[in-house]
Amino acid sequence: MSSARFRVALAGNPNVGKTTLFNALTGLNQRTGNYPGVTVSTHSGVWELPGGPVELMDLPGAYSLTALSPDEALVNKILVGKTDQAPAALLVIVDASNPERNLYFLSQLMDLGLPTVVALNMGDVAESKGLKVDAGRLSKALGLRVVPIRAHKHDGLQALGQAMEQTALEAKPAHGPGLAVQGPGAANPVAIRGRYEWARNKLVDAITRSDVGVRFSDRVDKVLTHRVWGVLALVLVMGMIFQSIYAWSQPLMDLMQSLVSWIGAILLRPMAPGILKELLSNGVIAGVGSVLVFVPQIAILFLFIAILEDCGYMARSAFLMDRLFAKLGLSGRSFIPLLSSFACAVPGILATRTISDRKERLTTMLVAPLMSCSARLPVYTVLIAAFLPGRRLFGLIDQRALVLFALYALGLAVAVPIAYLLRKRMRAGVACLFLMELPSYKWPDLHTVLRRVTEQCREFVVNAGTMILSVAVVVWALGAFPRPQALLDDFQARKQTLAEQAVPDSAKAAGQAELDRQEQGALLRQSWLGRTGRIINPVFEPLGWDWRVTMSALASIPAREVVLGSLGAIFNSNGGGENGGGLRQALIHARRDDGTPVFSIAVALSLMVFFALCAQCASTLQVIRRESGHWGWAAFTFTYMTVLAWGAGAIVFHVAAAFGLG
Amino acid sequence: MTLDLLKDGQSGTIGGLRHQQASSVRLMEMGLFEGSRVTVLRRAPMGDPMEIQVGDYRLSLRRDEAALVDMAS
Repeated sequence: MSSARFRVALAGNPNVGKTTLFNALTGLNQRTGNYPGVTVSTHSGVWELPGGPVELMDLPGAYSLTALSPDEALVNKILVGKTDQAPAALLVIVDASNPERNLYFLSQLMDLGLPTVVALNMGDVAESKGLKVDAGRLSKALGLRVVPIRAHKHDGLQALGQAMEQTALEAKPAHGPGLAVQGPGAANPVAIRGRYEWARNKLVDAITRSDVGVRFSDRVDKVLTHRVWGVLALVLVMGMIFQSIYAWSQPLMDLMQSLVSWIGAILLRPMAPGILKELLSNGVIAGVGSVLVFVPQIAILFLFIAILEDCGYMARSAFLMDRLFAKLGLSGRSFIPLLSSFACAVPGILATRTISDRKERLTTMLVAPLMSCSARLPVYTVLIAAFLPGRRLFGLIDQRALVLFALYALGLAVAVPIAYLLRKRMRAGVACLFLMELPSYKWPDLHTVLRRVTEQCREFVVNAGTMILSVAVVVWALGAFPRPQALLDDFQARKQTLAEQAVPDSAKAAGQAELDRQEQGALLRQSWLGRTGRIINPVFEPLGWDWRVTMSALASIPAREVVLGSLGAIFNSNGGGENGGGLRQALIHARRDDGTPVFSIAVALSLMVFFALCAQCASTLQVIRRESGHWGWAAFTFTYMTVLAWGAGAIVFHVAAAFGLG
Repeated sequence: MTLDLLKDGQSGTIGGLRHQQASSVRLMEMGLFEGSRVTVLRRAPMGDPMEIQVGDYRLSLRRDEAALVDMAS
């Protein structure tokens, strides 16, 4: 952006099409939310004016320069505080369907005395309300260039560019009502009313109103916020979102996974077996796979979120659910992120960007990983199938289904007091406002929606991906080293013997595979990971765990679903797929060093409860770090969840053992 | 009489705001001050928050926030 001649800041209220205009003017593959929240950021792009390129800086949506939210604080800092980010000119987008309140903010911006151009957007929505704002007359009243545009149709953008060029050349400062823009002088009733008075005066000649009766948007709203129909519609919409991330994304995730392993196989084929090959296949490629496998879910969830937000439904869902969350000190805005977290916490945490209040967003982020995500399901199903009898309670409910349900309910039940406590500790002096605009419904703009989806996926892969990958490689190394030569030689010799035996080729292949598995298990048992498992096992003894279980849990810190693989490796399961019977049989027949079974119902229960509450997901922790802007919050999440998981696991083990299930 | 006590569908004129630091400032900035006309459109399923029409747009606010707004009798 060094070639840009000067900087223009794009400002305006939330929900007036500011992001759409920014994208249309810059064509840059960038998006800013209306609510970037904790890590507030601005985006910049290049805007080609008739006289050459300028830098266009997209500011977060704001209602006023008196900063209540972090977004508004940023707008205030850039525009009022004299930083080096200060723009040379302003482009203010005004919603023609709600001119008075938009002109309130404009009046503050004009009092900054910068050369200013107004983009008058949403004329079509205004007309549906029976409102008509005459750009020429408004321009005369304000003493500024006012250009009518339709941001989503890219209408009027050229005229806007010309207006900005001329205004910047003239360098004529804008003149507002001349009231204070910050400090007690701005935040007092007289000043606020003065600005509204000013706005009304400016609009008097420019605005015409006609009666249009009940609008389509209002009729839709009446149904969608109705006590009965509204709730029903919400359940339907949420059901569809949930179903799509939970089930419909599965084929795409499988496809992603097999694509990664296919490419991996091609890359690895020419390589000689050895430690480098293992690093690449079990460390790097597995790590890349565990990053990319999230992409379909993130894309699908954000497709829904972007559509719902762009059409105006998001605010309605928050309106409907607010009461439930208010009791926890949260608001209806937390609903969608938390629900999504039942499928996967990663997109769920990213979805907290729609929460404008910083503390509320942080709280939601920190409890989101407690929701039982889809990666926990295979762990539950394998253990339940192996150790719980399929008896029916009251001849009706399958005990196993009940346990599964209880595990899902557990996360939710624990999240309630945690959210309450976090919120209580975080609440500072400033009163939390739940003022939320309910914008008119409109058709979602395809461009804006797709841009948001790709942006979100790209950001996840680039930013979270690198970290997740490195954790995967580190844990792989801990499980792969040291490699005693004696052990490798021993297995080499046994493989050699097998190869020389006079048996059919198919039996040979099976025997080789079996030996490979045993070798893996033996290596894992004496690796650093295995040794650590044995050393720290006393910590997990209250949960009834054998050191091999402890080690598998440790190995699954990068991703909890890995536990099945590591259990399989350490108990020398003969595979048969993660959900296959092989692992189940191996677990059932696993013996401790003293010959007693490793697993009992009590141990299986404590392991499942541990997994239900523990933060074994490097991706989630990394995303928390990114979104909260601080490592500390990720560390906090990991700590509190691990402590909780340990405590609950121990309680469950002892209670179950007391009932004779030990 | 405060805004939160208005029935669904009822309109009225605001008489003034009870002072409560940041909250009342933002309520005013959103167009809720003495003389503004407001209409209560509906309440959410559990009675809170409420949806109101103020000026040319619709706003959702919680009952305890609406209780800061005095209506002109």
